[in-house]
Amino acid sequence: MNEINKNLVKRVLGFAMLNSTDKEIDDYVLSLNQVVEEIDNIQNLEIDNKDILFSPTNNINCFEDGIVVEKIDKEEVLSRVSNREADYILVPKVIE
Amino acid sequence: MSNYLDLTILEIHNLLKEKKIKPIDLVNEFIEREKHSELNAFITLDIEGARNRAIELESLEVDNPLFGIPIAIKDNIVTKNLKTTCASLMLDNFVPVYDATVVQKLKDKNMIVIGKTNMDEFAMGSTGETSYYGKTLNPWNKERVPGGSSSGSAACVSGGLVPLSLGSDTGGSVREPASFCGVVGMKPTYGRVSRYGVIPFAASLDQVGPIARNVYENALLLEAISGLDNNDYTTFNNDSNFTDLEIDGNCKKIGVPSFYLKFEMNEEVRNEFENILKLLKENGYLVEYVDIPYLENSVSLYQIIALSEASSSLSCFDGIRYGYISKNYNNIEELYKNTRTEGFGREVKKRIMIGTYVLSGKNANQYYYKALAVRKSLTDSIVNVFKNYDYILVPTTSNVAYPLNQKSENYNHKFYDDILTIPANMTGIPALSLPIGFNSENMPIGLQIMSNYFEEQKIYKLANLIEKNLNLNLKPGGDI
Repeated sequence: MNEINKNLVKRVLGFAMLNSTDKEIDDYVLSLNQVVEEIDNIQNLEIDNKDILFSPTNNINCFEDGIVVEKIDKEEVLSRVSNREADYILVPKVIE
Repeated sequence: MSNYLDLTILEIHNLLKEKKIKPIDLVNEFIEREKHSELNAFITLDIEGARNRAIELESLEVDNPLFGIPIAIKDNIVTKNLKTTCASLMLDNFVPVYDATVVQKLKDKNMIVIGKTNMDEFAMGSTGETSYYGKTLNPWNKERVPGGSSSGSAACVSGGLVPLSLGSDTGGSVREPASFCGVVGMKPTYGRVSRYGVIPFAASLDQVGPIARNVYENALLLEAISGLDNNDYTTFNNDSNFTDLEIDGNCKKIGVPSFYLKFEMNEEVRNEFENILKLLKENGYLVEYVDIPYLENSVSLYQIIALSEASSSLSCFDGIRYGYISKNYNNIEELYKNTRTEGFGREVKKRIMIGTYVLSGKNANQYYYKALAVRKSLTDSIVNVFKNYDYILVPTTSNVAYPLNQKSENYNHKFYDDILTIPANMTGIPALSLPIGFNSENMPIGLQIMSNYFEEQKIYKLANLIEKNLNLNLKPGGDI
């Protein structure tokens, strides 16, 4: 079993783009260890089958040829935006 | 006050058709009932929109049984010009610019969308307690959970606020609350119903499902929302006539997984389940125990596959594209992290952490790809059962609705609420929860009926037979 410690939780928090207090980190350590203990039964499970199932059903692609259709009016979309300039959405300035 | 909303859909339909009532009467009755409800079943009501629509409908012909019927929609299904929050601060101000395909289909039937129902945040939970907008309460006992994640959708139908609602089901989120609230909930075959406009939790498991007071009305609603959608390439154009409930004499073989005999289960739930098996045997059904390998791995599969997909699905909520944005940042990384930390609730963050861990580095092979292989093996073993049996039957949940605020030392316990419902999501087969009785505290007990891909009608037929035989009073506060 992979043991989860505070350092590992801090690394995963970084991957997940989340912050955490020390108290929350302790909670994550506990919960993640419990989950890993549970899911380890998968890792150790003997199966003959090597195929994987990603989607439950096989579908024939029903998309039509790549024809662009305008489904939603641009002005209607922009009317929901809190910050806009002309036809552009203004996002927070994040470049230092 | 009138009581039209207590009538069956067909009785309401006849009154509308004969012009004895108008759609606005139903809307006004809903408003009155909702005003006195303590269930916290709704996040957003669209009273003005519903009233306007009801008045517009007065000039149209009553052309189908769903015409003019108020319906509630789970708040992870987008509705044009009506706030869609996923019960999260992250989407507290999100007003979609389009309708999900299922919502458009309901509007095409001239149903009236009355509001958006409370739910576990981003559909992550099985109690209805993780919503940013507060807990939903169970109409049968307001100190108990209604189940989740479609908590409000089940509670508002059970509580008599609306006759019909839509939920979504990733690991049991329609069936578990349906069981806890004493209503009928269907998770259709994966691909039967479009997911276009459904905010994803785990895209390979999610499916929209109807919740209703009885089998016929559930089937009627599924007919309305089923079908191929060019906006969702996982949908199919299979036959979708579900309301012929005449029993098929050739479908009489039932398999009960032997795994569930060993599973820890409330005695009263087990007794009610066994009473149903007895009833079916008396009606000429063959009931046998069957071995289904890998069922015992369902919770692990869910934790790995659902939470991996969730960590990926929810990565788009970063404060830039849409949704909540933190005011506290000096650079892009701080913006992302602070937005996500402040915008998501505790349970959602924990599940993102698990999914991210499972997908990171060598864990992807150790856990995720291995889980996909086990998922294939589980699917093969269930499909094999359907070579010899028409149905698989189990209780929907191992217990009745439990008290609010219940804490557990082990985080895994909350996932075990769904151990009986997860297999249908992993394989994609249809499964329905049907009320079959009550425990000694008058809390509902549910039966889960599963069948092969696209065999929803077969499920409805068996459910209808059981429903007619039991003839339960499913009104909270009513006699047992």
